[in-house]
Amino acid sequence: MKISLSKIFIVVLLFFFSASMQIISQQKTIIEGTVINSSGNPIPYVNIFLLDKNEGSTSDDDGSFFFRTTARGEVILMASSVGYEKQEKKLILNGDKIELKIVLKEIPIKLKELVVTGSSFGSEKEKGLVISRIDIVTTPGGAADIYQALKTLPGLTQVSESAELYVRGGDPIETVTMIDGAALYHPFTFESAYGGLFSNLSQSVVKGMYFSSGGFSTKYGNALSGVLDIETKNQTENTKHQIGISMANISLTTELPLISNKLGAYLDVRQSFTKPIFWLNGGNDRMVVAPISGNATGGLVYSYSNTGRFKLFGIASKDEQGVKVERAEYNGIFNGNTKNYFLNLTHSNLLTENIMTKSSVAYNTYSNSWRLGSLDLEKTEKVYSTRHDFEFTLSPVYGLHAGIDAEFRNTNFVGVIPQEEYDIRPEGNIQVINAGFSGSRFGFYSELISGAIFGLSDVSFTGGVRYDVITQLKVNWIDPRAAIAYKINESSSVRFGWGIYHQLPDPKLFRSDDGNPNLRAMNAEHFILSFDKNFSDFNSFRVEVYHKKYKDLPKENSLVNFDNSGFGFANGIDLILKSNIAGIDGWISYGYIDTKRNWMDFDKDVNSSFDITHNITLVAKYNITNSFQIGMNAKYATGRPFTPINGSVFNAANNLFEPIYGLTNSARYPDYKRLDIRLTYFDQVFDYPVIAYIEGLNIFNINNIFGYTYTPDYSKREDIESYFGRRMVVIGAMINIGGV
Amino acid sequence: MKHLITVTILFTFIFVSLNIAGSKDETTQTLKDAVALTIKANLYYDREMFEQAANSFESLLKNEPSNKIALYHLTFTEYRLLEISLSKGNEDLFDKYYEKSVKHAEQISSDKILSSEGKTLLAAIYMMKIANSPFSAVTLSGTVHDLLDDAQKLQPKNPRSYIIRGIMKFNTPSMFGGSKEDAMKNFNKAISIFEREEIVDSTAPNWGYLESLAWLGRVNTALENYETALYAYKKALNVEPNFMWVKMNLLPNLQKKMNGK
Repeated sequence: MKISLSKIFIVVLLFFFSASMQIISQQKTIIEGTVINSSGNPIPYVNIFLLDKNEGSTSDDDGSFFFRTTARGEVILMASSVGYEKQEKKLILNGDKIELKIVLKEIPIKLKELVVTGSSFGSEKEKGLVISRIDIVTTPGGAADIYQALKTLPGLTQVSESAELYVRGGDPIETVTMIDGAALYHPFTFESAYGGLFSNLSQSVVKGMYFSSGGFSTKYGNALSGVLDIETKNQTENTKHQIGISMANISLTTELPLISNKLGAYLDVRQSFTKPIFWLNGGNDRMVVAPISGNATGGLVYSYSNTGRFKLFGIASKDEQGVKVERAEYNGIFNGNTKNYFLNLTHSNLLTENIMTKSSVAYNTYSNSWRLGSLDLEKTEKVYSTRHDFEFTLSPVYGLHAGIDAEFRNTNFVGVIPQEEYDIRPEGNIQVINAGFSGSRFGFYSELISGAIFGLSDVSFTGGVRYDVITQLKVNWIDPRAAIAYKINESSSVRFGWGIYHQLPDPKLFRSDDGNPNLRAMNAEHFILSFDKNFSDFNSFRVEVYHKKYKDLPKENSLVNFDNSGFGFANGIDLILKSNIAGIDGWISYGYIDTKRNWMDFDKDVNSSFDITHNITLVAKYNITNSFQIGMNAKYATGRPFTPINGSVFNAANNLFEPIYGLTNSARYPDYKRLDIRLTYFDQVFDYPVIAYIEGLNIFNINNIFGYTYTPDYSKREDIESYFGRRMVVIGAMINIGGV
Repeated sequence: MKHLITVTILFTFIFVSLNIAGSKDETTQTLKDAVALTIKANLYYDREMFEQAANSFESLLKNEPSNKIALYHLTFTEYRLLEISLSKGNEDLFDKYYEKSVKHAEQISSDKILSSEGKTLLAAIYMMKIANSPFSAVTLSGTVHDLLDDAQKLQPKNPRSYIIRGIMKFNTPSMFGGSKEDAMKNFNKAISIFEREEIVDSTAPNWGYLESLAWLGRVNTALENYETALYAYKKALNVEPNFMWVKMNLLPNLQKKMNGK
């Protein structure tokens, strides 16, 4: 076969043409550019990639990026980064270099995390990380108690050793505890006239918590001063068992994933017994029945889909105490016991991509009896409540939260109480009480949340209104509330919050015999200005200035027992600096308050009973080695005001000295000072992680007192020590068995 | 005679030098082989391969105790073995390697050149301890972050320190200060550094690029940014098609989620 030269030439030419085409088709397109925000500043570490491909890059510190791709034709380029809206760009790739300038729009705070309130402390960073579960467990003197640990924050005044939350000069009943949306009005054990000592809720069952000392959203009703919103644990992923023992209690915690990712349960059972502590440290002589309590907390969680979940959560607790009490007119034994049961069924699901719903139905029954001399009173309370919250995401920066809540509360007081506060002798004059109060409250709220108002991505806003009605009392109120936040830069922000808050007074004031069933709700108006600075993950600072104006407070009235003519105010400043310097981790908080009230039996506007002018706490922890940590918790608080007794007159008919009271709250108890230290040891015993600690409470043995007792003629007074007021040593350990 | 002595000395010198050079070459080759085995073990997440590599590094260190690079790689394999022990629930394996890996990481931390890498490894090992014994988080979580702070001060462009910080942030519950968003920022920063890094020495610490892509995928999956997660996994497999963690586990799980959606 004869092949001509020209044919060979054509074949060679075709071969080279084909090869060239192949090379051209495989030639990579260069895509480069910069990513900036709306202010023109570069955004580092943005993912820039071709959708459904494996090609892309991450922007550098200066926002620049560069990559090559073999793709051809039409592609979608995506840019995504934390805190910015994703952006898609259609590109035609033909081998020519493409230069891009991508402008990403900021989402200042994700809507679901947007909480623009004046004074909030959360367990989650998005809500202002200030206190974590580690802080609760390791804060010396806190007994791993949520409430005791919270009391180290500013805005919470140190009135006594009680766990109750005294928020910015308010009475403890002005702060409500919510558990998965349901109010728990008695979250404490060992309640007495001096308040509850510890929380009913173990930190081990808590997933997250949000605490606000003012300016909180319209989601929360019937609370005048503060709110503690606790979310309990969800699905457990691993089997865990933990045993804890100390000189004050024994506990068992277990978590069981029954059906993987579907059904899980957890339970925390604890029994407290204070006898060993009082035996070691002294104080047993005061106890007839050393305070003991039993407590079980648990949850059953069923996840029926990726987003839908039912949770049944319950608390059962009881306690008793018998303490010798010395009063001017009578020495006797105070017997107190409490039973408290709480059950809450919650459901949450994502109805559509933009609507989240959360519902709860709860039941709480509480009974408490106090006996001392002629006092023999039993209080019972039943609360049925339900709430339904809806979170609508209207756009990436706008959301609407709305909901309804309903509560039926029945409170009964049965027994006898002394006729006069100063005569508790068994033979003294008494008053028989058999009174009940029932009320149903219905609340509705709606709140607009915006991550960028007036087109300003650095300004976020929350504003809404709630309406509450109590049908039996024919009382209703409207609470408008708003807050605005301005992000000065990546690490600083300033916030302003304002709102009207209403709350019903203590149920016992509605008694028809010595109260007034026609009392209206108390009213408070909050103004809060705060500044936050996060220096780094572990170093942050916050300062808040607030003004709280009270009106419609209950006040004694000679005609109708009580009316709503009481008023008052609270002005103050709160600071907190959380830091980790040279391996020392901790925080210092300071609160200044000036608060006056004219309410209840006050004859004029005087210092509120919880006017603690200066309140300072310093918590510091240092890891000596990887196994040893030493921590301290130092507290100082101005002594709280009290009404002094200036003398007495002898009442021959009752054979009793009657005290002559000075001006209301015109004197102060000694300043509160206390230093607790704790040495914690971590190790493994037979492969089981163990934590052991020794704690010295009030190591300088400073006499912090609950109040005064007097000689029968009131000529001399003596201190009433708090239960855990003296210097004490507590030893304890926890062991984790099974799972991690 | 003088010439003979001179020639003998010269030959002896040449012989010894050649021997030393040969032995160095051999050491370097053994190191390279062991590093290659570690890389392979990393892809297949294989305990036996890691243990073989660890044995090779230990043998090298017996002959040359001051070889810090060998010590670094030994510590890295020990860290990976700790990780495997946790995934398999093998307490004995954990106990076998924990103490010595800490000791080795501390030794590397005190080395002038490798200090940043040593502190990063020590942080990673403590992170394993926290996973094994959650109580230890109380003292160790602060130490982990302190070590990473130090590592980043010493070498601001050490990508592995950002990976470990990201993993720590990812695995820590928000109640304890964890944050998926912070984790993502750290993984992205690590990737950005890796993609601009020039590797000049094949035995220098260079692990982590694939892991940072895998973790970027994980965190984006957790945050339901499925497109970004898919890109990260595909990119990891494009770099190394046999990266089993992504190939057999993470990518199929993501695809299931995406299909379910």
